[in-house]
Amino acid sequence: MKKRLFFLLFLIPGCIEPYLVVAPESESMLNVEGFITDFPGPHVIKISRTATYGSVFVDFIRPVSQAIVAVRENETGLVTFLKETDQGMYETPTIFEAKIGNTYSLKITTREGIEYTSFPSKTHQAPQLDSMVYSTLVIPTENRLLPRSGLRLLAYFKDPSDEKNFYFWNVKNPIAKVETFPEFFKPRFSLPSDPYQPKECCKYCDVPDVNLFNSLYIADDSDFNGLVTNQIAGFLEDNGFRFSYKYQFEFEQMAISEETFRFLKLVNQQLTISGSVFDPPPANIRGNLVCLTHPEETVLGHFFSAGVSKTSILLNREDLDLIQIQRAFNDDCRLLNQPVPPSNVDP
Amino acid sequence: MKARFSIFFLLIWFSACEEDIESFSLLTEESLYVSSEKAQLVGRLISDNKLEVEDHGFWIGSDESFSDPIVVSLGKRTGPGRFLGEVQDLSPGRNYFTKSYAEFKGEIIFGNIIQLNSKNPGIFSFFPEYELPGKIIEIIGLNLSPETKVFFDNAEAKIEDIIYESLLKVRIPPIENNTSPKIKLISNGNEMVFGKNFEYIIGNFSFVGFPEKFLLNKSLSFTQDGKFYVGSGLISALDIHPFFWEFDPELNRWSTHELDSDPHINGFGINGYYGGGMDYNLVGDTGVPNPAFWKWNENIPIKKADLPYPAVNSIAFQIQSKIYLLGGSVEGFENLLYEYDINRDSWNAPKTFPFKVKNNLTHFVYEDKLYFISDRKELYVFDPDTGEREIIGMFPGDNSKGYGVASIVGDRVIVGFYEQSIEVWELNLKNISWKRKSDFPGIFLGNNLGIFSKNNSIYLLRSTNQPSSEYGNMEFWKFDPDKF
Repeated sequence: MKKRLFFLLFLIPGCIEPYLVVAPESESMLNVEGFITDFPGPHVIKISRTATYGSVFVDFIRPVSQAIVAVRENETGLVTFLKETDQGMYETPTIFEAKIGNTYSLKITTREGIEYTSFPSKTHQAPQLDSMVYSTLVIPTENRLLPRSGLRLLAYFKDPSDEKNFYFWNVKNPIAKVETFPEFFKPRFSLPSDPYQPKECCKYCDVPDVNLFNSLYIADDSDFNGLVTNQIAGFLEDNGFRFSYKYQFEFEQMAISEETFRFLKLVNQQLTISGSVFDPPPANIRGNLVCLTHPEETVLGHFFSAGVSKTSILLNREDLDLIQIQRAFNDDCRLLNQPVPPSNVDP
Repeated sequence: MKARFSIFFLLIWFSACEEDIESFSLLTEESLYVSSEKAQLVGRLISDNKLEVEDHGFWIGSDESFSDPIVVSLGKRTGPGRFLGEVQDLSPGRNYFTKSYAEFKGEIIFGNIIQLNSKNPGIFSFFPEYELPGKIIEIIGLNLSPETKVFFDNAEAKIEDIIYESLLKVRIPPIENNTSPKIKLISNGNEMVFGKNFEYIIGNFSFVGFPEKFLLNKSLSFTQDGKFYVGSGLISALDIHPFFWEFDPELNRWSTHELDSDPHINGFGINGYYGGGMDYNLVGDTGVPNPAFWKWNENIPIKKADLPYPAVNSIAFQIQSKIYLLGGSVEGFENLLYEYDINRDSWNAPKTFPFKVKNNLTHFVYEDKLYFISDRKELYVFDPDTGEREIIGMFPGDNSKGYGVASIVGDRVIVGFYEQSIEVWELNLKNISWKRKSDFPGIFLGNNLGIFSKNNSIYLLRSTNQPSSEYGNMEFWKFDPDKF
């Protein structure tokens, strides 16, 4: 009996077969970023191809150049061609603006002749932005002495009651007007006792804040339909230099479609995943572009048209309640290509 | 025990009854694209099974009952997902209905019905507005079918490309008779004609030649009795050229006249009168101004009243019996306008011109008014009697380097030959409209020494110091603005 059991034990492990995992081969996908509004252009559309999984030696994100890119007004059939201003960056003419109530599609034909198009997106009238108010927000961190802080933006407006409204707030063209101190310039490795070597130029510069991180601020009017309301519409983090003199930007309140709202909400969810058990699972977000040449091809991105109500904001340091220690840059301000805190602080 | 077995088999029986129910939903989505004859349709097959349909696609009909449908069949399909179809048989400006369909186990299932409105074709603009035959012109329109035809008057043009049924790239046909043809498009039976005519670039240059090879510069020129005179300048940095060269267009011949008087370097000449400038040249534009003023009379210079100011690089023009001298490069006199009465041989007190002027501005006289083109391309008309001036247009070409010339031919003026530019333009003075003419074929790095018109042709003398110049340092051209 024991011998039989012994042979039986041999048979059971013999049934295990290795399971071959066949992972699908990763592919480079077309990615489209951009939107148009009812304000005069240029409106920018960025087209790139995603990198396949792996190191930069395997693949990298490539701009899609020399494509034919156009925006079509579907009510009339009017096609506006975009001009490539930089690799993968396409701009509408400055006179182009979307018309409220009309729908627009983005059309792309790549250099290889592959044709893509977006689903039509309707331009909704944006409710009037009454004002934009900012206040200092402190975000505690693990280090009690070094909390993060910045300006929280609040949009004040009246929501129309007769329709479902979806909002997207955007900070556009942020420019830090920096003040530096070339009169206190000292070369690197100077001793504290060494005299200053003042530079004649330049003390004041406008530095585009291209790397300003701003997560997506969106809302639907389910909680405030028809009411005068204020909504959190942005956060500009104080990095210790950005607000040290003056800061200006355009603040846009956009009326978007329900499909665009859903897309941006899913993107925001993915952007704000923190790794906790309550996070939504990572997912592929379906955009609104399709490949006409190969309908099965996955295309990333969502092209949309929006009505805009906007205001221009100029912040002065004196008006801000800044928590971060503002650091000085003792050199020619033209050396700065972005408003980040200077690495070397003069003693 | 028997009962237990019965329950066991019953359970097995029940479990055996479970089977996959292959069900699906069909959705017709908003169409991607609708033009005058084409529509891109979208449908979606929604199912949690990997079902297989024998056929799927779209029906398109002109009524909601789909009595005579156009069927777009996409064939067999396995699994759910989105599908695209295209129809290219629509008529422009009509309402259509479409619904997706799928044939499953012999039964046709339809999705929801969507309405389509096919568009009408239209035209917006063409660019450029003037071009040579054989070149490409771009026409912007909308909903233009692949069968679109383009005509220049009656000559059909070849369409090289149609992009997004909107942008036509068309090769310009040869000129038939009309150099300003109408552009006509026929698309889906609709005939559309642009309101503005296309302009062929015409005009013919022929090289006449100049007897000498030296480099004449800083000279003056004028016309008298149908002949053209140029000279009294330099032939090197310091070498004065004490001659007038005379060209007779009737005989097509050059001859010379020696000058005994002091030279007029950077002087002026107008209709037989000449003078000003400097009597010798140092470096650059410095020198001693020459106040002498002459009338060229049967090849003999007759002295007239001296100039009232140092007229170096000044603009000279004649209206009726008055010669006007305007501005120049001498400080303090750049915005003064002096008037010379031919009958009285006297100069009047100056008037002040609103801004500084010198002879780098292209100018001409038409119907007793001075016209000039500012360096900001504004076309001014100026009445020296009243001092009234007005901007009546803009020069469409490149005048960034200045020193262009202009010459009247009837009610038109030929403008161009700017420094480092080959552009030549024609301005219709009746309706102030511009036309591009054939590009100047000579060396574009040259200086204009003189221009005049005779028998509807333009004659232009230029000098160049370019070593690769095919014609040497002097180029003399005849330009027929209407020849092609």
